[in-house]
Amino acid sequence: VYPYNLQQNPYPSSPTPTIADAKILGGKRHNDAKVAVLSCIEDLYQKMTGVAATDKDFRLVTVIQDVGSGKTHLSLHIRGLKELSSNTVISYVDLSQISPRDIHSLYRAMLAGFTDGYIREFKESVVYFLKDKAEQNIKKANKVFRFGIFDSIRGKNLATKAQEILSDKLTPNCSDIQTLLSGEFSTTEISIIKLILEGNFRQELQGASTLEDIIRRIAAIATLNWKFLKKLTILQLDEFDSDKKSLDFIKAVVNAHLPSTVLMLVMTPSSYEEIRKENPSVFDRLEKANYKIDLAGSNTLEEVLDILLEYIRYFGDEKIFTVDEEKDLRAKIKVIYDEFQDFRNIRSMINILYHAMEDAKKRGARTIDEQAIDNTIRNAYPGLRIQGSIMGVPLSDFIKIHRSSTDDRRLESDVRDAVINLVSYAYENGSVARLEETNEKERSGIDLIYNDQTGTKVAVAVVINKDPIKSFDQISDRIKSTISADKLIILTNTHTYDSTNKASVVNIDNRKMIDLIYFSSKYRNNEIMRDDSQRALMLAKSIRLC
Amino acid sequence: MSAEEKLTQRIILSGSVGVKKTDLRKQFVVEDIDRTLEDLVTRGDICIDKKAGAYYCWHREYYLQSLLNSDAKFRLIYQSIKSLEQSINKTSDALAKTLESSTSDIISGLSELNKETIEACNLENGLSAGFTTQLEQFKMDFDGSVSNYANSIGWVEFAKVRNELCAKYNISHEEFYRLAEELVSKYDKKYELSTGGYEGITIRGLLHGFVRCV
Repeated sequence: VYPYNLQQNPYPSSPTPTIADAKILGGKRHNDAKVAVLSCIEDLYQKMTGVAATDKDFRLVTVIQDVGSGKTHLSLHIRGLKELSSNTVISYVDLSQISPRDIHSLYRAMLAGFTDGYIREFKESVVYFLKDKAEQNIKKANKVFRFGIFDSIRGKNLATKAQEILSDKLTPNCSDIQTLLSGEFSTTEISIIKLILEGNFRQELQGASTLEDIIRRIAAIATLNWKFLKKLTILQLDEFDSDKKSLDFIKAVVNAHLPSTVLMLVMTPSSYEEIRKENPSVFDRLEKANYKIDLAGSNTLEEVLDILLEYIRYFGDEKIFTVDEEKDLRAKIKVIYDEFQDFRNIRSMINILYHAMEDAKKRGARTIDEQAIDNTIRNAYPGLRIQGSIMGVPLSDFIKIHRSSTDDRRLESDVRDAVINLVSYAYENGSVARLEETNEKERSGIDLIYNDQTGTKVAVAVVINKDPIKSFDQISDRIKSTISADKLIILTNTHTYDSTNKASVVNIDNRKMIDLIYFSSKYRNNEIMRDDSQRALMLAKSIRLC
Repeated sequence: MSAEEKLTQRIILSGSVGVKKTDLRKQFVVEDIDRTLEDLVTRGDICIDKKAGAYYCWHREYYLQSLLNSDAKFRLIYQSIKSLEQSINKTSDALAKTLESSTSDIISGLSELNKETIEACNLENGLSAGFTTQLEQFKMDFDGSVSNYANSIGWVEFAKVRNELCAKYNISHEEFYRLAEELVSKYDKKYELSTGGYEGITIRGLLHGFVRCV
């Protein structure tokens, strides 16, 4: 069993999403984008109801965002939405998989982008349409079903024959379809119907030798989708770029105003800029898109967190993956996000959590613990270190200390103890003289006093998360009135550039505080190794303690 | 002049030789001369001591001289103490001199050290403050440039912003990207980067050549 009592690892292991992975869509921005696309479809659908498809019913949607931001995931999610299955037919094409690109390969890819279920449904509609014609005693319709006297003797009827065609037991006779449907359908539409009936919808490209032919065929498919299925046609073209053939093809598609169709182009800002340079005409059309889906902020912490947690919510039980569990996991993910700029994208984070889930499962952990994340980072990204950490704090310890440092009082107390321990350690190594014992009154505001190697009497005060100037002034006044020291060092995490002539202010950031607390823990437990020793003295020097 | 004052005057006039108590009794016929002498001894104005079987009185100013004249042992001890006192005085003078000199050096040193510390602190604060001011100014111009060159969805090539700001600030490409990196790192929620382009900021080994203000 995986953590949170999950029966499977909720995170995909592949670097790009699959249809199955894309069932889950987290993140406010991604869901807003989804709503925008659905709104476009809904709007067009409402305008279409009850009327024939025309070239006024074309919509262009662009989705432009950086690599790894979830564009493909969003496209596949929309493609798999059940709520769209009753009113749309969607073809998804990944243009990066098409080479060489020409009008034929692009058209073939577009046909391949439709699902098998759609082709079955389309064929079924056509067959039942023809059956209706046959039942109206239209002779040519009967011929399509190859319905003869022997079939009557055997007790078969048109419904049986239609079923045989649909189950591929019978090949329909399409020779008379042209004359049967010519009044109702265009020549191109009839040829599409024939291909559907013959099962050659995706393979047969004869008669589609020019761009004009291909555009006409795509328009025919869209028209038939509306006529037979009452569904809009959605053409999703992912990884759209500035390839000349692709641009020519898309320009033609946009100009053709495909009936009852939404063309959805997915690209990066870089591709968008290249298109501007390569083909201003296409760029201008893209600029006038009906909907420009913007996934701005797709890599923000909130978005990444929501996407990641959605996977567990989807597969898990809210009684097990409780609000507290979620909060706990959020805090761990936040540390990774904050400390490793490389992981500030959803793709990397999903990869980490996939491995962390596997690691936790192997160890029988009930949740994704610090150890799981630490092992993942060490195994999957062996060269990775916490930036700016002098003590080389392992990620698991880093996360633990980081999480416990939310309490200001505890943090200040821990840092104070750590500084005292660090100076004591420096004394043991001969870097400074022994710490001076001071009574409580004298110690007011001052955390320790010692003599450095030059004999200078140094007083140190730790000021964490407090109003800096006020505290500095208070400490300076205290030191002036109660003890005599040659030098005052104020260690603080409160960034200030305001000058204070009374003391040396040393800014210690979050990483340095964690370094100090980590050292302190090792010092208390007598775990300082040789390597740690050098690091510790370096740490002391970095905050001007010796 | 009171009887007590007359008595004290008489004793002073006797100098280091002193005056016999019995002679004083004879000379000053007062009711209780012994009580008056006791009061003077108690106040420390006179000393009474035995000399040659008789009690003598000395004024405090002459008693020491009387002892030095009459008691060789006392004189030797006194001289030794005097010598020791002189020695101590000399040493303490030397010590005081040394201390004075050292203290002056220490104070001067500390003052210098303090001055240096203050200067270093001021310099550091000044540099930080200067850098902050520089970055804030850079941010304003950077945002302005992004706004000017951005396409309909806000994206702009770094190169365009770099061209403008390098000319304005007369800074190198490297300096521009150092400042730009600092800027997008400090205000990471205000900027969004995108891969691609021919120059920009490298993150995760990917060149991010596009930027926009979110």
